[in-house]
Formats: sequence, C-alpha cells, structure tokens
Amino acid sequence: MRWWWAGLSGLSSARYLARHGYAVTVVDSRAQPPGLGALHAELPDMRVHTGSFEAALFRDPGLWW
Amino acid sequence: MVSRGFRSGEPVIAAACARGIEAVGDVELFAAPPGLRSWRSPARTQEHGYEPGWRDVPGGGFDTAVGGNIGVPVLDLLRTPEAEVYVLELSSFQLETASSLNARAAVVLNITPDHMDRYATLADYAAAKARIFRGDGTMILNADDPVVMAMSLPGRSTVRFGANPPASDIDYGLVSHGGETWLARGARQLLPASAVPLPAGTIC
Repeated sequence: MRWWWAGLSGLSSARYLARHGYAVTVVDSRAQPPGLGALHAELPDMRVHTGSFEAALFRDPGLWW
Repeated sequence: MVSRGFRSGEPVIAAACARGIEAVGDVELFAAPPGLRSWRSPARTQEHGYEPGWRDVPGGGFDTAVGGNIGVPVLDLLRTPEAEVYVLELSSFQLETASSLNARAAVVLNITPDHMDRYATLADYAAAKARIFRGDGTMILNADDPVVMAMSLPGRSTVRFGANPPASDIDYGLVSHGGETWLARGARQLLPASAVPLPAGTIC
C-alpha cells in the first residue's frame, strides 16, 4: 500500500489504512512535507519515503488495490 | 491510494494506471471500503427539505457528520456507531479519484473557472465536478448556472434552486412577499432572506 501525502487528509488516510491492517508506505515528493511530524508522532512505525518519486515504489500492484 | 494533490499526469502514477492499477482517493475508501464493498451514501440529505426551524436542529434532527475537503477529512468521520447522515463538501480533485459515490442527494453550486491550472478546459473541470452525481440519488442543481443545468440526467429525481421564483413545487427560489425577499419552496414561503446571516444576493 503506497500513499501520497497531503497533510490533514493524508494523515487521516494513513490512520485509516493502518487501523484496517494494511502495510502502508507513505510517499511524498517533498523532502519535508507538511504534517510529517504529526505522522511520526501518531504512527511511529509507518514507513515513509520523501523526495523524488522512484518508479520502483509503485511497481508492485500488490501494494495497491 | 493518492491524495487530492494527485495529478493524473505524474509519470510514475500514470505508468501504474497504464498497467491497470487503480489509483483511489480517500473519498473512494469512504464510499466503498476495501473488503466491505457495501456502499455508503455520503452527502445524504432528507428529500423532504428543511423546515423553517432547521437552524435550531443541525442535521434536521439526525445524527450527522460534516466534513470533506474543508474541515474533518472523510475517513475521520467514520466512527462506531455510524452517523445517520454524512454531509460532505468535496473538491473536483477528490471526485476524480472516487468512482463509487452514490449520494442520496448531491449538489453542484456553480462552475467558475477556478483551478484551471489543473484542467485543460472548463468542460473538463465541469466533468470532474459532475462525478458527484454518480449513482441514483437526487440531483440538486443551480437553475441560474447553465453549465450546472447541463449536468441534468434523465430519469433522476431533480431539485433546482435559484434567485428566481421556484419553477415547480419541489424547487427552491426567491419570491417577494410583503416588501421582503423570502426563500420559498414551490408556493411555500420558508423564511425571509433577512433571517439568513449572509450578505444579500449571496447564492453560492
């Protein structure tokens, strides 16, 4: 499961997916997306990838639905 | 899953979509939760309309959750027990990545050339907004906006609103009564415009 960060609704989405048992990776093209601190504070174990998009991040369809 | 900042032209996302991977937004998860696939009906309102005292009863007496593009994100509105009525304000961006919406009632207030950095034409923007009418719910349309009226679909329950007197018993409009402007539904006067805490002439 990859998810593209967007502040408030992004944190909401990460929270929802984690609660439903999905292995989530949060992806944002910005090095320091807004709200990143809140994400780390609430969901410290969530994988986060910031910076340039890499095609490999989005290659495996099993990570999507 | 992609955010509302998602641009369909983003190469890595476009490449994934080209391989048949679906990119969905938070509104799609709200409307059709994975694993459940039982559709909720967001943006629901009661078809009988608001009574004059509606301001004293937020949500018309129903257990109501309000959010969306502004305020509380849609997925944060989900709780146990579920709200009886969800009232959502959704952006064209959110609607682009939501295909399972089936609102009991939905409204497009107007189409103005906002966000044209994201759309090639006004028609593209209008088409994104019209996705809120997917499903079989009541369509609520701005009678004064021809682009909105063009979204009308045959066979669908439709309610119109505008600045002119109502065209039918189920439509909303403005009428003159006793030297004052009143909001009316059909022939029924609901409340004077002076009771609404908005600048006169605000129809959006």
